[in-house]
This record gives sequence, structure tokens and C-alpha cells, in this order.
Amino acid sequence: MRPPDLDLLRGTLDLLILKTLSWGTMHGLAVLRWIEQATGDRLQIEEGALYPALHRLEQRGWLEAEWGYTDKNRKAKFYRLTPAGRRQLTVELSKWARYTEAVDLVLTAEGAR
Amino acid sequence: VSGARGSWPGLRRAFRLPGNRERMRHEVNEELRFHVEGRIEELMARGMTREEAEAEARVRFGDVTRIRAECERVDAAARRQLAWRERLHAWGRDARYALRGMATRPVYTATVVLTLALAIGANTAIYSVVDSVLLRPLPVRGLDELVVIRDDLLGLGLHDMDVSPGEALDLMERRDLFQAVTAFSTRNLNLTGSGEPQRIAAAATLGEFFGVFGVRPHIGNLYRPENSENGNHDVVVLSYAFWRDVAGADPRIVGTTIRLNDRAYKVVGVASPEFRYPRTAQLWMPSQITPKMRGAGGRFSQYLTAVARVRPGITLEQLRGQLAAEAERWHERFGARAYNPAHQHRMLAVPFVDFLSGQLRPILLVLTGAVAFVLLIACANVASLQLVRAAGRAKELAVRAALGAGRWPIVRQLLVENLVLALAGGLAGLAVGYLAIRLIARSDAAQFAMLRDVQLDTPVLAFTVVVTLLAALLFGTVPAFRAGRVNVTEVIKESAGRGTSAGVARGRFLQGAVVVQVALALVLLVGSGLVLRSLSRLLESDPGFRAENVLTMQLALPSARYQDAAATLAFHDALVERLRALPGVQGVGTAYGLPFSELDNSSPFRIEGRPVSPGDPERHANMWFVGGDYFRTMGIPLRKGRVFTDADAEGTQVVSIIDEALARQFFPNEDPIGKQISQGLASTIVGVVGSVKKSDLAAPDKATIYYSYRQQPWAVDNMAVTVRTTLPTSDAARMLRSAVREQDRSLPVFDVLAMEERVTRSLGARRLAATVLSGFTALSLLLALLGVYGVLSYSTTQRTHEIGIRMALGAKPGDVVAMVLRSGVMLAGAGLAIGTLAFVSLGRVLSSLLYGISPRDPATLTGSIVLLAAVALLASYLPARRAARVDPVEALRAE
Repeated sequence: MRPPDLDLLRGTLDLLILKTLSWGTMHGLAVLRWIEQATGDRLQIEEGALYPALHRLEQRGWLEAEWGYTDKNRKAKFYRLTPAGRRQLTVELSKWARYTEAVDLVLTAEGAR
Repeated sequence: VSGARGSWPGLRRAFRLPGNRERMRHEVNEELRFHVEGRIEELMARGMTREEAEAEARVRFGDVTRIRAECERVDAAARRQLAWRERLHAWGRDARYALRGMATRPVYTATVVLTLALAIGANTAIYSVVDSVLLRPLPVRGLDELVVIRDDLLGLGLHDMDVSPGEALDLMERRDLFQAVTAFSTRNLNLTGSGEPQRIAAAATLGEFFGVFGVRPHIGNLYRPENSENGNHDVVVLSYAFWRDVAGADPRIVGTTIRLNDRAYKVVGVASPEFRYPRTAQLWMPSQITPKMRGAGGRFSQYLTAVARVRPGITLEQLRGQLAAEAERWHERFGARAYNPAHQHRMLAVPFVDFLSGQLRPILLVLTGAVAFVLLIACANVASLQLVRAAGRAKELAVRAALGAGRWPIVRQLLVENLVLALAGGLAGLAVGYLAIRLIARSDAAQFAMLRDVQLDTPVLAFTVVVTLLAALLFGTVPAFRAGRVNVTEVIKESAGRGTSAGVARGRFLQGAVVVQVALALVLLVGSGLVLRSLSRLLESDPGFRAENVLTMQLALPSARYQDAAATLAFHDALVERLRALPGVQGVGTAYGLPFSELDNSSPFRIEGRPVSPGDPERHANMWFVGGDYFRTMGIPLRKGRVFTDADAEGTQVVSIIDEALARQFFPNEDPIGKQISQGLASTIVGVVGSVKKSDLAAPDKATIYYSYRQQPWAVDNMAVTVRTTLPTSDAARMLRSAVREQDRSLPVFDVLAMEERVTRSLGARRLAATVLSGFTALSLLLALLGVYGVLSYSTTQRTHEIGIRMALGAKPGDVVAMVLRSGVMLAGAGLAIGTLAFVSLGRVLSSLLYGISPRDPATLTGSIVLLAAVALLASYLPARRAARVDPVEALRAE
């Protein structure tokens, strides 16, 4: 497996986590499964990398965490989006939109005649 | 998808966040394990064996160790941030609480803040003086490498004198000892050319003056040591202040010439603004080296201040040894004519900083000690106040402790309160210090130019901050930690009026604080009493002349225009006549050699027919020239013979008048009238006058010979005019100035001063010491009074119950008063005893400030003890009266 572009991945991963958690409270594994399902397993993520990202987002005050029990009565750490996190998600989404738009423009531009 | 979704409150909580470091690691582990196990289960559900599933889950997860470490790092940073925020929040809350508390107890707060402000302000002021006089007197690099070389002539009783030019030139050759050497003298010159003639102060330098002090030019250049030898000596470097004030800060002045004593000097540059040495110098000029200086003739008069920068690694001890050896070589080379063995010539090196501070040094050391005492007294006082207040709020603290507040939060709260109090005191103290510095700079002692430069700068501010924190530590720590040791049961017992161990310990601390305050106050009281009595003895002492109603001034005849004796004498006689004729003038005298001025001249003399036997020191006396009615004007009494008359003119037999000190010393049992003496100038003694003090009222009389100015008009170019008049000083001064201007338009009049003022100024340093010490003493007495009062009030309140019982059992109010007074007297007595012992061992440091009184003067000590005992009694009386009014029924029912 080639190492993915870290900078791109980190920013993207943060965005994916925020977006996923905007649907509701989840533990880490659930976040990952959600992403897998949504992409149809097309996006390969080093699963462990999810956790430092979650902790970082929590420290910034975008996520809140609390220990709780799963449906199967297992202890797990659950995350949810804070109001600040929700605002951040909007910011990140518009950044992402501008970014892909720009990349798209380059990729679809006609070659010079 | 597994996992709790939906609303947060629906989640069943497992445990709380955040915890300690162990818990944090555990949680990260748990979280990651949950993930991997969840994956394994999922993969097994898809049909993998357990081993396959585990291997697959590991690969997908990545490096567990690295990820765990990364998570822990993020969490640790978060925890640290949180902890800091909480701590700041707690301190902030305590500070707000403290401020609210201060506002609700305005009298208590004002007392504490004022006490601290006065003590911290006093310390700030004294430190700023110490800083600018003793620690950083000149902004010169490597100040500690500089030494001043001084001559002693022990056989003549002359100490700490300047050196001669020949000696200075020889010292400059000692490259092995010194990096650079300079020697200079200051002189006053008439500046003419533009506007009013002015008297300006110049320093004439030899050697590497600017090199020794590391001076840089502000504009232009500095002259070089060679200017003294290559005939190029008519150049000057201006001081920055002179350039700004007199030359209008015009940079085009470099290269132009100015006229000094009717001679042209080329301005080569202006020195950098921060360099001001010697203090009075407005410009520097090279002194010319003459061939005579290098021979024996260059060793007779000592008038140069020699400053040298010592080579690194040479100690003061080594230098002194080398100088002694050098002096030996000179004695051999120049023989007895230059260095009479009986004079016991000796050369020594003094650190430049000590030389600069001179007379101020012992005074400042005493004041530093005194001001430290003031701070200690203030801290003891505030500590007692705090402890008394802590007793009052013991209940509040006990309630907090009972509600589960730990010891540290309570101590922290009290420490923050102290810090807030100390900071308020420190801030107010800065204002007090600033005012005190302004007062010092404007006091009599401001004749010490160094005191005028004292200011509140960064090092002084830093010192104030340190003192403030130190004060907080001193007055706050014991009460805070004591209060933190709350014992709920004890407090409840105590509030029921019963004695407890905490109450006893608190009482003991309070008593100790009072004893310390009384002891320190006594030391200050005795010290300032001695200094004040010395001062009043000096003021009452007889200077030998009547200073009141005598106005003095100086003028100098430029030698370029008054070249011969006839011109000088004509000017002198005409001026005396003109001044005599002025209304309100009762007498006019002229003098070269005026008490309490810089005009002085001293040299050896011989008595005809009475040679000095070999091995005896030469006879030495001041050589002063006077004209007009000098003795009558100054009120110096004639003891024998006659004073000078107009008949003692040029060409007649040279006559002299000696003073009583000389008569006593050299003509003990005979009539000196008619005796022949020679002081480089042969004369016949015609009279004896009373001795006068020369520059210090505390110094012994020094032998003096007076000559008539009219017989030697060429002998001096500088002279003082003394006028006895009952006119107000300012009117008389204006009149004298215009009279001189009418006589010679280009002659500046300077140093115009009432004779009384000259005498007073000579006491400036002692006056400053006496004033400041008295202020400190008054403050410490007030604080001691408050201290005794506070403690006795507190203890009588504590003993209300006991007093009630006593009175119920038949004690009279008088007995109660006596009981309280007795405990006050006991406390004061202990303090007085300790203070006496302390003073007996410390008193000697004062001896340099004392005159005519022993540091162990019993009268002063007794008086101080009586005064302080009276203060203590006064402070005990109010609480005693209150105790006597206790109603036994009320007191017993209160239980």
C-alpha cells in the first residue's frame, strides 16, 4: 500500500469525521463503518489514524466525548459534534467545495491550441 | 451499524472524564481495543477464523504503538491546558473575592495599604539613591576596573590628596599595571564673545582621559593624549549639556573657536550625552605638559585627580604593593627635596566608585539599614493585623473547612488576599517613593550633584517589585498557613470564649511581633536621636566668624587683560571703594581663601631662626590673601597686634597675620608678634586673629597665615568678595552684580551665596541623614503604637470572660486597668531590653555621622527608652479603660 498524501489525508479525514458525526453520536468504529458504507469501500483509510484525529478534534472543542455502552452492552467512547464543530463543518465544506472546483477546472480545461 | 445513536442524554454513562494520567492511558487503550475487537468480530462473522481475523484487523488498524502514543500526546496537552485554565480561574476567583473583602473593610484595608506604602516607598527612595550613588554612579563600562591614585603625607597629617603632575606622568608609563591612565584638574574659566560673560567649569586633562572612561563623541572628535605635548593644546571637547544649553545644540559648532579667559580654543567635538564626569565640567581640554613637570619641580604641588583603568587580573592588593614600590623608586630618584622622608609620602589606590560616593557612602549605608528596619516593623505590624483579623474570621474559614474545602484552597485564598494587599501597597509605595526622590533631589544635600540624578528607572522598579513580594511573604505567610490549619472543634470552642491552644499560639505570635516592633523602633529612635543631637551641636558650634548678614561672591580676573600688578591692584581698590559706597553696606572684604568655599591654598612655611630638625615634618599652614576690611566684615576677632591697613602696600615690608591655631601650635609660650616667617614669601607677623573652620564644622582648626592682598596682588587670579549688609540677599546680590558690571563689563560674577548658606550646605549630608532618619523614626513609633494597641485590644477582647469573672469576684476597675497596663508594659519592656542590646552592638556604624557625642550616649538612650515606654503606655491605656468597663453580668451571660 502506497503511503497516502498525508496533508491531504489529514484535512480530508477531519472533514469526513465532522460530516459523519453530523448525523449523530458514534464511537470510532462506527464512524469508520459509516465512511466505508458511504463510499462502498472505495476509500482505504489506515484505521488507527482515525483516533488521533478524533482526539485532536475533541481538544479543539469541535467534538465532545463520553464513555457509554453500545447496544451489545460493550463499553465504548462516543463522540458527538459540538455547536462549534457544526460551524467548523460548514467552513470545511465550503473550503472543500472551492478546492474541488478548482481542481476540476484544471482537469477539464482544454489544452492550449 | 452498532453504537449508541440519537440524543446524548439517552446514553448510559460509563465513567467520568477527565481523570489522572493513569486513567487517561487506560482509556486510550480501551478505546483502541474496542475498535480492534469490534473489527475481529465483524471479520469472524464474515467467515474468517479467529487467527485470520486478528491478523487482518491488525493490518487494517496500522501501528498500534504509534497511534496510542499520538492519542496520549494529544490528550496530555489537552489536560495541561485544562489544568492551567482551572488554576488561573481559581486564582482569579480568589483575587476577586479578596478585592470584595477589601472593599467591605475599608479601615483595615487602608491601614494595611498605607503602612505598606510608606515602608515600600521609603525603601524605593533609599534604593534609588543607593543605586545612583553607590551602584551605578556613572554609565561607564567596567566601572570596577577603575581606581583613583591618591597621595598621603602622613607626617603632615595630610590624607587622601591629589597627585602631582610628575607622579601622574610616571604612572602613565606603567603599562604593565594599567590599560590607561588619566589625571585632571578642574578650573573655572571666563567664557566671553557672545552675550553675557559666563563663568564655566572646565576639566584640564592629561593622558587618556576619554580612553579611561570609554567616552565616544556625540559629534565631531575627541582630542588625544598627544595634544598635551605637540603644542596643539588649544582645543576643547564640549559636554552634551553645555552644547545643548549654551551652544544651542548647533552641530556646526565643531571646527569653530570659543574664547575662554581671552584665549581662543578650537571646538573639536561634543561628548556623548550620558557622560558627565567630573560632574561640574562643561568642557574638557588637554593640559599642556611642560619640561618642569617631569623633573623634581613637577612633584611639589598635588592638584591632579588620577584615575586609571587597571589591567584585568591585577588585584587591588597587588596594585597597592606595586604603587608602594614605585613610590620608593621616586623617593630615591628625586631625593629629600621632593620627598622629605619626614613627610612620609605614601601612594595608594582607591576604587573609583568609593572615591565618587565619598561623604555619602557611610550615610547611605546607615539609611539602608534604617529603611530595612522600617520594612520589618511594617511587616510585623501588618502580620499582627492579619492574625487578629484571621481570629475574627475563623468561623468563616471553619465553615468552609467543614463544607469540605481542603487546606490548600483556604491557604491559597489567604495568600492571594495578601498578594493583592501587597500589590496595592507596592503601587502606592511607588508614588510615595517618587515623591520622596523629588524631595531628596531638592534638599540641602543636593549640593551633592549625584543626588540630583536620582530617578525611578527600571532597576529601581524591579527592586520595588521584589520588596513588595518580600513584604507579602513576610507579613502573609505565617497568618495564612496558621489560618489554613483550621480545627473545626477548636473554633467552636473558641467562639464560646474558652481558651484554646490555637488562641494561645496566636497570642504568642502577636506578642512576639510587638516585641520585635518595639525593639526595632528603639534602635531607630536612639540612632536618629544621636544624629539629631550631633547636628544641633554642630549648628551651635562656633565657626570662628559671624556668618549672618554676610554675602559672598567670586570673580576672576583674566590674566590676558590684567597682566601686571598695577592693573590688578587698581581694579581691586576701585571695586572695594565702589562697594563700600553702596547704601546698606557695612563692610567690604576680599579674600583668596574663604571658609566653606573652594578657594583654599596650603603650603609649608619656616620660622626664622628655628630650623626644622632633620627627621621632623615640615610646618604646614593655609596661605590666604585678604583685602579691604576682611576681618571686620567676617567678624573674625583680633586677639593681638593689628589687622592690615592701607599702609601695608606694595613695596613696604611684607606683613602677615596668623591665627590662634598657628600661635598655639608654634608659639605656645611666647609672643608671636614681630617674629619672621617665610612661606615662600618672607614676612613679619603683626597680628593674631581667631581661628575659623575651613570647610567642615566637625574638623579641628588648621593653622592659617593671612597676607595682605594689596602687597601681593599678582599672587592669585581668583578672589572672593565678602560684604556685610542687612539688605535682603537677593537685593544685595543684584546690587553687587551691577556694581561689578559697571567696573568691568566682561567679568562674570559667580558663586553668589550668603555665608550662612555656605555653612548650612556643608551640613547638607548630615541634615539629609537626620531628616530621613527622623522620618523613619516617626513612622516606626506610629507603627509600634498601633502594634501595641492592636494586640492589647485583641487580648482584652479575648479575656472578656475572665475579666468578667474577676470583677464578679470583687476586682475593682482600677485593678483591671492595672492588669492590662501591666501586660502592655511587659511587652514594651521586653522590646526595649532587646532594642537596647541591639543598639549597643550596632551603634558603632553610626560613628561617622556623630559629632561630640558617643554612640553609647546614656542620656540619648535613656530618653529614647522613656519616650517609647510612654508611647507603649498610651497605647495600652485605651484597651485598659475598655476592659475596666466590662459588665460582669453581660460578660458571663455571653457564654
